[in-house]
Amino acid sequence: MEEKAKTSLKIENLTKNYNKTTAVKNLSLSLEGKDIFGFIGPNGAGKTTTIKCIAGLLSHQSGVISINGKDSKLFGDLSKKRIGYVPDTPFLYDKLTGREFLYFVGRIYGMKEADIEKEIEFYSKQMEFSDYMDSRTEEYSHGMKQRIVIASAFIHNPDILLVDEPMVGLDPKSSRIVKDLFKEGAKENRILFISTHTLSLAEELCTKIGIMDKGSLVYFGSISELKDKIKKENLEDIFLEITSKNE
Amino acid sequence: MNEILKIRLKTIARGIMITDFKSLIKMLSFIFVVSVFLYFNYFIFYKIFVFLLRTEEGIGYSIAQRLTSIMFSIFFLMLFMSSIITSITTFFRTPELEFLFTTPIKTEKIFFIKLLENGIFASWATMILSIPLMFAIGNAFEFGGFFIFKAIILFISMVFIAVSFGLAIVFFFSEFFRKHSLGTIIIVIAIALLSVLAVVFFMKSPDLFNLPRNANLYNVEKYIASLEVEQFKYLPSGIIINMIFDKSQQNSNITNILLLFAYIISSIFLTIISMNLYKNKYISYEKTILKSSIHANRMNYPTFFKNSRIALLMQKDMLAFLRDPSQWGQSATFLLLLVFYGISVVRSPIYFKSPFYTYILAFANLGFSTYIMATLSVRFIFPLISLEGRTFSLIRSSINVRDYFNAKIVFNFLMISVLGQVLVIGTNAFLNIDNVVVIVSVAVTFIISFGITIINTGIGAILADFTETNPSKIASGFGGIVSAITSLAYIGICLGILSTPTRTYFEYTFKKIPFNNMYFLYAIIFVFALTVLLFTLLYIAGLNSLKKRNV
Ligand SMILES: Nc1ncnc2c1ncn2[C@@H]1O[C@H](COP(=O)(O)OP(=O)(O)O)[C@@H](O)[C@H]1O
Ligand SMILES: [Mg+2]
Repeated sequence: MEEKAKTSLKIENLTKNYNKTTAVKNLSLSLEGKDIFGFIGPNGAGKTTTIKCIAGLLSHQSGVISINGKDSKLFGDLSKKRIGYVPDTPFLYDKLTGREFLYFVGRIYGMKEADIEKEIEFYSKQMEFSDYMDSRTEEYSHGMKQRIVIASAFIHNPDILLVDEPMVGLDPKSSRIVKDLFKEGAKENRILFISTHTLSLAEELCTKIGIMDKGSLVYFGSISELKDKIKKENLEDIFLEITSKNE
Repeated sequence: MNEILKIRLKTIARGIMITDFKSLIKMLSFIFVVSVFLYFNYFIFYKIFVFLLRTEEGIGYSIAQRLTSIMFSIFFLMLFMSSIITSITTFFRTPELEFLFTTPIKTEKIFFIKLLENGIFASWATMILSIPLMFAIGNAFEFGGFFIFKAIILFISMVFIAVSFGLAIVFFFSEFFRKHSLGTIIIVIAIALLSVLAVVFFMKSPDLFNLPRNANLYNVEKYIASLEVEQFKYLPSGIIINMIFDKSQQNSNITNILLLFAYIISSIFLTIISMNLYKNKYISYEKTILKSSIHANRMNYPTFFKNSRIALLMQKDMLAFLRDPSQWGQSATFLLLLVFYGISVVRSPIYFKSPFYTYILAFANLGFSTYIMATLSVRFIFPLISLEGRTFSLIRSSINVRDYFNAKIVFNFLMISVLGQVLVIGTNAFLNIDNVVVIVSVAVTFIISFGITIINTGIGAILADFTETNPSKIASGFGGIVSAITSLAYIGICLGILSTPTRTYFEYTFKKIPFNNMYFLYAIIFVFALTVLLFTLLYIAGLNSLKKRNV
């Protein structure tokens, strides 16, 4: 079992309704290790809903989400070790320090003390939070929190990392740091699934993109293919064109 | 040990950690203020019981028992209601859950932590009231040292039963809770509870009217004894009261123990079922209600005082209050309990044909009503200024702070005094008391409403916490407790001033000696002077601190 097959994420015909509103309609896509996937769409397109379904935080009406070939509905609590999730509003415990929170996460994922220490050491340098990680998180700004939370998701080395709108509210420096981390975080056994409504991020980082509009995936493929198809250089224009066609 | 539990403990420890002199002072004054508050509550209850026990003919004993029984039933219903409301939040809506459910922590562990939290959230308010109450019972009735131990264990089992039943309701009807806003849910629960109460009341009332109005004392007492906890005998609160007061009858004791045991077993059972449902309930529960109802714009409503800023501010407060279920939901709970209280008071005098007891009841009612006004204001009025939060800077930059403060005072005064008058007039009307007492009660309630308003608005401004958004938390914080104590002390003093002429009045009426009503007038003038003094001080201090405040 331990031989590392390439990670895979496959979504088939995912549909999710909230009471009357359909948030996600018949979404299908498939990703594999080393992919950095940009999940793009305007506000209310259904990105957060999709991500929560994958993370197992929301039940869906129909469709199958399978991770490494196994239906995610059959996942027990322990299989969650494979998935990392960074919500759109960072969650941290107020009274703990950043370092303590990272320790806490490491312990929950059953990591060894020495490994946790090593990882914290590494990410605090990489993401430049070593000078504030020993004060309480209630004193952090949004960007500081976001960096800690992202580090906490990387620390336990998940196969699939779901990140919801990571760039919202970040200053240029924080946003640079986060982008660099994503770039370096791509590897054989990892899928990075990043939702965003800003295109620059997708253009800079992503190997594959999907464009969501009103609950449907209107495009799925690589950026260069998309540019060829629509013959426009600027991704902004492409995006606006695709999403306005469905008006 | 459980990792999440550790985090909780650490959080609490950090919250109360003493790092410097300032936090030491803060901590000490907090402990002091809380102890005074608890002691004050104890003192009031104790005085009431001792007073009742001293009355001749032993009727006082029955009244005392009845009073405690009513209070415990109120506590039980309050616990049950707040468990329903808090468990929606603790089990489904807290952002922490999203974090916990993406980690490999077992669902059972998450459930356990949340159960503990829910128990604490739902019961702390009741605890603060009932622990002093139990001490007062123990001492006044001289039940002995073992009593407190027994009472606290019984009380904790009552909390557990109420909380797990409330939780089970949320879990079993989660489809319903998911589809409707918190507001609708609270209305439905309130209506359901009201109808249950109404049914109980109507089923019992024929009994009531069977009592001959002129029965002798012995009959009356027998009747009371039979009615004592009759109405809620099978609620856990009723069982517990029976066990607390039961000294001799072995049989009923065993029945009570068995009943309580049955309740506890079913609570455990319900809790285990809920635990197994939890994961699935959680992932099919939509956490954020993004689309609540669509509101018509009511801000541009053509008001009568169209150009008055004060009216505009009050309108904003009203809207904010009505659209926040955590605010009016709790007031609805309280109103429900007040109805319950009213019914109990109205029902009581029928057993006592002697006007003497009616007057005692009238005075006790005045005391209790003002006490309720004070408690409610701390919960609802005190947090209003803090709730303004960051928008306070907007208000200050656009509106005269004095206008703002005045608007708050007028609004709060209206809410409090309407509540107080309804309570006092409503219950007095049924008591058939003569006009002097009614007029005195109305006047005193009016003045006291004013005092309570300024205490809670003034201290609410001085000790405002613009960072907290949860009104319950604001009310239970340092400022809230200062406010509670000031209000209680104020009421205590006012009632103390009034008690002298009242006692004479009762005595004279009883002995048929003519009474000079001027005594009442003097007392009222005293109370009025005290209130004016308090008003001036707190108004100036509150306004100044709002002006100086940097947000
Ligand atoms: N808890 C909820 N209850 C009802 N509707 C919701 C809920 N969450 C999201 N929606 C609706 O689902 C749609 C998709 O929302 P979301 O997934 O948050 O979009 P995005 O993350 O792309 O901005 C929106 O129309 C939104 O109004
Ligand atoms: Mg979103």
